[in-house]
Amino acid sequence: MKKQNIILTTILALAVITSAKGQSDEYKFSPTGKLIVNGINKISFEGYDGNEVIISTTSRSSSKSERAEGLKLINGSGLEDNTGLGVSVSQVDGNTEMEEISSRSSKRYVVKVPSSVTLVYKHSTAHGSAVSFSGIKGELEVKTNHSRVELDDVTGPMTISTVHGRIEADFSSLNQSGPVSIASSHGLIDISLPADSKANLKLGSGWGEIYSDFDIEIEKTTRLRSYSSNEVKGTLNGGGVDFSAESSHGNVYLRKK
Amino acid sequence: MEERKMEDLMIDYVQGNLTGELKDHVEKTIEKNEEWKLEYDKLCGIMEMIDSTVELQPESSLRQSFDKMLEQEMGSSEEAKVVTMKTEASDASKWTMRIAASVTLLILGAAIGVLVMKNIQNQEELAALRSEMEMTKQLVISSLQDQTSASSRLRGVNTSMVMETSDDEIINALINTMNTDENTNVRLAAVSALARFANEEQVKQALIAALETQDDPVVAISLINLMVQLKEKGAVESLKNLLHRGEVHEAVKSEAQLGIFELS
Repeated sequence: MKKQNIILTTILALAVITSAKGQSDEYKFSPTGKLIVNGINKISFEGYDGNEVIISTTSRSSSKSERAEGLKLINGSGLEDNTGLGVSVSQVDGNTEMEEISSRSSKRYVVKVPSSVTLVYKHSTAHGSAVSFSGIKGELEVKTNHSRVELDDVTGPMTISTVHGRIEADFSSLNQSGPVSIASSHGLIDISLPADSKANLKLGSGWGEIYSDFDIEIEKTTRLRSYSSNEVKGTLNGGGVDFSAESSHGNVYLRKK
Repeated sequence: MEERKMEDLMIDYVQGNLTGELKDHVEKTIEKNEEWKLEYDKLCGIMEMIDSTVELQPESSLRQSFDKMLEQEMGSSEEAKVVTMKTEASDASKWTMRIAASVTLLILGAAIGVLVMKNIQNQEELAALRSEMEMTKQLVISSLQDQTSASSRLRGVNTSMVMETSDDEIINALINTMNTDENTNVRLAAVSALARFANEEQVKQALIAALETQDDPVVAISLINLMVQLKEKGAVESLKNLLHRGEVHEAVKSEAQLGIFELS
């Protein structure tokens, strides 16, 4: 705990230094545990080989009026803008949490994430439109309500879920170290996988259809047929890591590339 | 034939089974005939030997139960062997019977040895199987509790799917995961795993109960669809209750309405 406080103090000190410079739109820190990002509307994540998380914002901090000069943005959750970018970074239960101070912010954030870090993104309101992840090599957990989820150059392991959003995923390869699970209640799911991917596949759509150009070795089970109207279970290239994609109302597309 | 009869009589005599005339007759024969005298001494020696062996042998009840066990456990050929010897013994004199009995016991001893070895082997195999099941179970349960990684918990749920029969401990762990895991996808996988045993009352009731308590909209919608696919009319009441609750996600409410429509 003491060590974490020291780290936090260092982060805060760094934040003060960076914000004091005034011109920087970037904030760097070394995360502890998972990086958990809560409810930031406009954000994209990029995986990279470094050790630090780098947050940057594309729009200039022009929204900060002269009247607010010398003041800090605060909110009811007790969050503090300790990055100078309108987001708060803090240690909670051994993990690093990142949150936006103002829910009315129009800023767009880009976060570079080290490949060794587990990234968790949660968005529960109806305000979000889309969140994108590119080149993420570590474990990824995404949970949204309305936001569309775009995954590019990803490998898994991952757990992705959304109520209304669609999920589009383009895999560069399929990591065999852990499962992939993609689920949407109302959105479609569109996945591209390298042709040689090895997987134990489970595709399902309650009220929609399933499309694929893969040669799926379908496992015919009599047991599951009774309750599942539209479910495909089988293997790709002899089988491998567990890979599931299920939508209650949307279609599921699995493309070979 | 005369000799044979005499031998039988002598055995009886040695064993003290003869009385009156026959006893006198044998006594006289031994006294008169040097050959029979020798035979008598020999017999006494043998009887003494057998008697001392008999003391080391198990009780007849124990032997009988072994016979029974043999008959049950061994192949028909071995069974036949034992039966044949018994028949011989019953026809022959008591002396022959005793020797036959000791031979039988010898064979029994060997057979018991074989049986015990076989039993140990079987038990070892069974124990290995059991420990493998137990290991799978423990692996599933411990990975379901791994709070550091959602994919590890997901793998735990998937591992539970290799177990063909339901196990109370696993079922309870899966129910807990379905209702409380912080990750939506892990909960969904638990629903799928439990759906395999939806025909079992305990599991069915847990799935129906989860309809009203599930706080994750994606999981709640999946549960409602499962009820529709199972044609589980027992879920209608819970779905109706769901509609009247305030904090329920609108997507879950409209799914519940769809569910009620499909099941009524």
